[in-house]
Amino acid sequence: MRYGVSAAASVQVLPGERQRIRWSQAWPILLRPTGDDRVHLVQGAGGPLGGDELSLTLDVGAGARLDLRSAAATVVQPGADGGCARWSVTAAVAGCLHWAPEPSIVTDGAELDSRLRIDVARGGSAVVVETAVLGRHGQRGGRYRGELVATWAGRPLLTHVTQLDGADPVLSGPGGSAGARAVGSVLVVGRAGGSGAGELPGVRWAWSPLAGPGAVLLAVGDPGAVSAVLHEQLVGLTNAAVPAATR
Amino acid sequence: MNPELLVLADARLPSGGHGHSGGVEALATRGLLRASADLALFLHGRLRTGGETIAAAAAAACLLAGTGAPEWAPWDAAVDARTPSAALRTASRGQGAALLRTVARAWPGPAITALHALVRPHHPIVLGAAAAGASATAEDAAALALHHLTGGAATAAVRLLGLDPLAVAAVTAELARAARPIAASAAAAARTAVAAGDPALLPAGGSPLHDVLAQLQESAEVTLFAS
Repeated sequence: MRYGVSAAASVQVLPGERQRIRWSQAWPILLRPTGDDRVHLVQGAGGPLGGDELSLTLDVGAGARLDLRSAAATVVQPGADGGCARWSVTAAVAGCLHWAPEPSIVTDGAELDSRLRIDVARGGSAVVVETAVLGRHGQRGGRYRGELVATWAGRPLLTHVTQLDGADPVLSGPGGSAGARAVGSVLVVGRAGGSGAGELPGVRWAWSPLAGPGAVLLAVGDPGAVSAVLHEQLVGLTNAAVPAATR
Repeated sequence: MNPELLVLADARLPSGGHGHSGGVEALATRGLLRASADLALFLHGRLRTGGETIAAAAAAACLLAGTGAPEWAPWDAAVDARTPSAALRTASRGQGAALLRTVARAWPGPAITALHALVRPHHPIVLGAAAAGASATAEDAAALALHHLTGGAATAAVRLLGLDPLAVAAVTAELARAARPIAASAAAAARTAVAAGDPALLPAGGSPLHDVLAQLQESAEVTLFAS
């Protein structure tokens, strides 16, 4: 048993003929460079647990590129004293950021407060993936609050808070997730996103352009089906990786 | 009670709301909303997610309109940022423009005149500004926004599903009780945001399924309601 930990890690990518990645890690957030522009995030302990406060700061300079991934799904468990696990990512992007972590799974009785703030400068671009899953197989899941704030060139592009709670009949009802266990999103800023919408067994999804240079894909449904939609749409984005003309 | 607010809350006031179901049609088509109990559950969810967001925007607009002719653009942009679905942004702007035509005649003033600079302002912004013209408090403006949300959806549910109007009336009364603390918290958040001059402080709750269904509804070939 351990009590809540506070940890802050950071990654900075400096452009150059051969770009340099500087990072500082703080247990249990471990960072492993796995390529010239790729870093993997590794959770060094089971969790996070309720009471943990973890944060990650990203700085991608103009002309630089960072492809950030996680090694495994994040499984949020209740802490020794209950309470909420807090996870916050703050990104300043003048270059190109691709942040595609594995899903966050909020187990029964656990609570996750996730905050992602991304400020993209004119000329920069970002693709950010988030997936929240309520519970492991057979569980209804704990509580999730996900705040996503994105700005482009200093202007608000998306400000959105999603609340999920597998034990709350209102939030898991038709005005919330309608019984779905997973919500996934792909936020695209400063370049062209995808388009279209669809309904497949186990998942409903749609792209929407934002009121500015960007788009968001939302998918709601079973964990496997949501992951499949996100994967397919991300492949589509990568294949069409021609930077959009931005205002 | 302020009688002018009854006029502003009346569904017969021309405001373009009749063309929108507030998400009910997309749910009903998919069998996710069948009975008045489902409608109640759906709208309780809407009140706690997107409802607080539009209520706070309306409350902020009401407070801003009390200052004369405010600079509306950042507050209107805050509603854009809080509405991921392009279909829902279009629906909100369409209803805002329709309501603006009415309130420009009914409650003219510098704040309403300044709204015309936005061309098609978002509905909660127009509603809040009109509420100020009708001497409303920020809490009143928030409650009006929630009333519009629940009333439009309830009317659509009766038309689409043939629900018992008496059962639906009971649902709307229950929702009005549930709306009171949400209107209060939305107004409190709006006061903080307006005092700081920072629309980023407004609440931003939403529901991804609601946004997905709005996009699917827009791309469907035959629907009774636009959203």
